[in-house]
Amino acid sequence: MHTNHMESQTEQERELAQLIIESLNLEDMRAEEIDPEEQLFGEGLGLDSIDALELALAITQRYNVQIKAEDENMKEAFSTLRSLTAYIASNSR
Amino acid sequence: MINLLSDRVWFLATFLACVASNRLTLLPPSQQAGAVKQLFSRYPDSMVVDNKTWPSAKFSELLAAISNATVQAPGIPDDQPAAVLFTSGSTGKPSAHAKPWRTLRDGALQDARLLQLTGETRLNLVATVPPQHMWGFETTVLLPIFTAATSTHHHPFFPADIQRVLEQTPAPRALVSSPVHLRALYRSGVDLPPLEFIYTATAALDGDLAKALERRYQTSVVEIFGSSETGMLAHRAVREDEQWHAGDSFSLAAQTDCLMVSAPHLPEPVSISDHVQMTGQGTFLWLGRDADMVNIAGKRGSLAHLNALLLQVEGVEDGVVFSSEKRLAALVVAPHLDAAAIRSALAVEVDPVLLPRPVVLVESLPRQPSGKLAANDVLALFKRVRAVKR
Repeated sequence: MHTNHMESQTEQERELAQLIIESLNLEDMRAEEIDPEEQLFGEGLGLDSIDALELALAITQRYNVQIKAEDENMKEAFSTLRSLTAYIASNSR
Repeated sequence: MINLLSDRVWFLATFLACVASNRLTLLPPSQQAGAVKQLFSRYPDSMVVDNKTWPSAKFSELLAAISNATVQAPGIPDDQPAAVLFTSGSTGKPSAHAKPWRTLRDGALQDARLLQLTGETRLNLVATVPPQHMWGFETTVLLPIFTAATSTHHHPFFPADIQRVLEQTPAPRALVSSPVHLRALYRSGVDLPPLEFIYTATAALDGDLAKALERRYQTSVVEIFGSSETGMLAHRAVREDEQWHAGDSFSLAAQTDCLMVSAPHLPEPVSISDHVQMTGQGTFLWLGRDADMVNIAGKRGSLAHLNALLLQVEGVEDGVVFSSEKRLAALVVAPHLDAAAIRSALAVEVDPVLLPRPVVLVESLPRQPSGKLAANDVLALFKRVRAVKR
């Protein structure tokens, strides 16, 4: 985890970070600790496919956005907290 | 040929090409670089094909050529080695399970009976499971080869994807999946077109969820009990009791800590580390697994193997991997490493869902004078350390 230089989170990013921590039971972390530019899956935060399913459900329930893997932009959207927040914002109704 | 292709048609074409040219297909226990590397050291003449190296540009030409040709299926000798599936075991070296052609063929016919497919049923399968894993291999690769069933090449993941692919698939349809995906599917609330069956395997499906799926989707949920060693072994329908019903070609013998299975189509009798209680001819109750083997989201792992890998990480002085809630966690003594570095090191060999989370660094493990670690002491320390962190 990078503790020396971390980008600061916007309010929406903080909200999504909180959702990630709650829905995935990441008890050891606080929302402020998720670097918006850090990779979410694999390296970085180290989320995996089970987390992806759980997170997708939480996002659909909170933001009413459907997550589809076959959407071209999806892989990029899921790469960091920042990109995921942006994806949700541009796809919300 | 180490076949890592995720598209089922590509996988199938490559697999059949290998069979036709008498080349063995190897299916590793995980797609991690370390697992593939291990296979290379055992089979130095191997090739690897994956989504990046597969010549997809040639595929359309190939399809066009095939549809214009009269293809004569070659006669494949019964005992020709066709595939080897590998599973992680407690010894650290993956166990190899050889599948000659006749095992695949006769096994597929047994599978069809377990899945309640009649000879003429042209069931169109949609699956969330990869073709490399035994469950996906039997359903989406072998059934289309040996029976009238078909499989879509798609590999849907999220509930919305499953919905879309099923809608694009003509009836009669069935979904081949596993408890993690089915739970996400149900909770998402998406609608699905009419399904003949939902087939599930790799981990136990909660009875209430099974009934809920049947109600919502007006379908039959068929649970399959199987393994890489035996293939599909038994089935169970939701409305009946908890007993499993083994396929008619299998002979079972329950031992104290394992189940011995033999069948005409298996190369030799195998032992699987499940505790069962026979309740009749070919029927049994599942009592649990050998404590060393864990099942996380349908992936099998050996705690002993994971422990060994952890201790091999440079800088790790001591450590233990254990089950915590629905996952694995680890306590590690490594004064000069952080949790991320340890997980990265493990990730080379270990499937992502089996990586311990969290990895908690401690000063020492609560070993007894004999060197043994008691589970209670480990969990107590784990709890204490996490309480302090908050």
